[in-house]
Amino acid sequence: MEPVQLWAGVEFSARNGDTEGLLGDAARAGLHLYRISALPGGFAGRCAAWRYRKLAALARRRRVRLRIGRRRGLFFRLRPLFRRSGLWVGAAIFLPALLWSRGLVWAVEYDGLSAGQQARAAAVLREDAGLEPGARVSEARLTTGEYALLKSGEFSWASVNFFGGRLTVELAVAKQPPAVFSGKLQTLHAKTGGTVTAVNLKSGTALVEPGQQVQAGQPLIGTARSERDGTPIFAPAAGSVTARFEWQTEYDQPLSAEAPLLTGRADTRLRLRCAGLALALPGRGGGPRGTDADGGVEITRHVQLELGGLPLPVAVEETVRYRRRSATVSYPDDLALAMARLHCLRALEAEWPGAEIVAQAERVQMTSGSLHYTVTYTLLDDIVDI
Amino acid sequence: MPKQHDKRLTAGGWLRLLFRQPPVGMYRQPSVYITGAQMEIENFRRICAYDEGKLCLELYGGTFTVYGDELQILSLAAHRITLKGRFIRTDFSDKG
Repeated sequence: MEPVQLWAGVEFSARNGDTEGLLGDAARAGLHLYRISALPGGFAGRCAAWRYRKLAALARRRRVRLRIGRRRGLFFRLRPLFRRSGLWVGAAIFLPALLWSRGLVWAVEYDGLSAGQQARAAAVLREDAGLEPGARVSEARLTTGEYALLKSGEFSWASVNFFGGRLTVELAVAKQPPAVFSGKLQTLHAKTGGTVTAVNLKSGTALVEPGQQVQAGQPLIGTARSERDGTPIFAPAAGSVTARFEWQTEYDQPLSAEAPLLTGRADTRLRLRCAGLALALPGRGGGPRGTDADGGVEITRHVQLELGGLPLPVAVEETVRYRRRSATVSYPDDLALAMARLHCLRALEAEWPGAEIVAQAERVQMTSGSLHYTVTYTLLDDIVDI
Repeated sequence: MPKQHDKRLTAGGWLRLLFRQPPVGMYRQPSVYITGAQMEIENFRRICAYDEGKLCLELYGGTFTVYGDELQILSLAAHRITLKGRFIRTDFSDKG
């Protein structure tokens, strides 16, 4: 097939009149006909569609009757669409709208951040600067966003740039300040009594040694140090004294309690935001009703609207309220014991964070309606009272 | 003794030979090429007759007729015609 037939070509037949003369005229005019086959009283052939009018004019001159048999090519496939005014109107609206929307956020790009850091940065930009997919960007908003990210404390450097619908957020995560050695000017005492297992002295004088029993409030590291000639001089007290000691706690776990329980029903509310406009969509379940006093759990998600994988400058805020109802819950014995253990472990973590548990002795007493749990932990930890 | 050439090619003569015009009518000389079931004819003036069994062309200085079966013109351009079919006989006649 000739290449012109792929775009716009016609198959025609020519009958009556001086058909041979028409062929000669067409050749002289450079109309370039293809696949000419003889017919009774004429011929049939093909030509490019944009040359057919000139061919028809030549045919009239030679009194040849020309008829189009078939139109071929992509142009004739698309021509019915060209005749639909709605498409032209749509294109006339769509193109200016597309150009106008270049000032909106179509995509947000974060460089070198983890998923959690990206989510936290997005929340800061959305709440403090109003920068989210679909938002109209201004220089003031970009500056506000940068300051908000710095104020969040998680980032030490922030740069927010916008070009062609893409918001690029570059951030440097703040690092923990290095630990600076600073001793105490007073003697360090023991926070609790126990058996010393290790002494790590950084400055000052160790007043205890491993294996020694200490009492609560007993001096552990002193500030005096003597020179070689015996002259006492001052040195700040710093270091750690690891000791083995016991710590006891107890907890009463009721076997039944009033607790808010999820009912399995949820209400959803959807809100679309684009260019400063908000459109509330009818959600499932009639939308969230009531307040936090009802005991419902409300979770809000922010996602970007996509069409076949193409992100659109529209932000969707989905709020789901899970309904809860107060009811009496009965805990089995093993569950009640596990809850009591968890409570005591939390208390231990709050009192002695990071302490190593060497051993533990538990005592459980079941009474009517409650479980009394007593535990004694044997711990290894630094007992210096700072 | 060998006879010496009287005419020597001078520089001016060589240049004139280089830029001289081709012989009159050189580009209008008809040409016919046959490859299998295709025939290409160049430099014809007009088509005198065409049907399934015959194609008659008027050339510059004569008439060229192709006889055959199922003759089809694959391409018709200003000075070139490409013909397809089973060729039986060709005739060439001077201008009468």
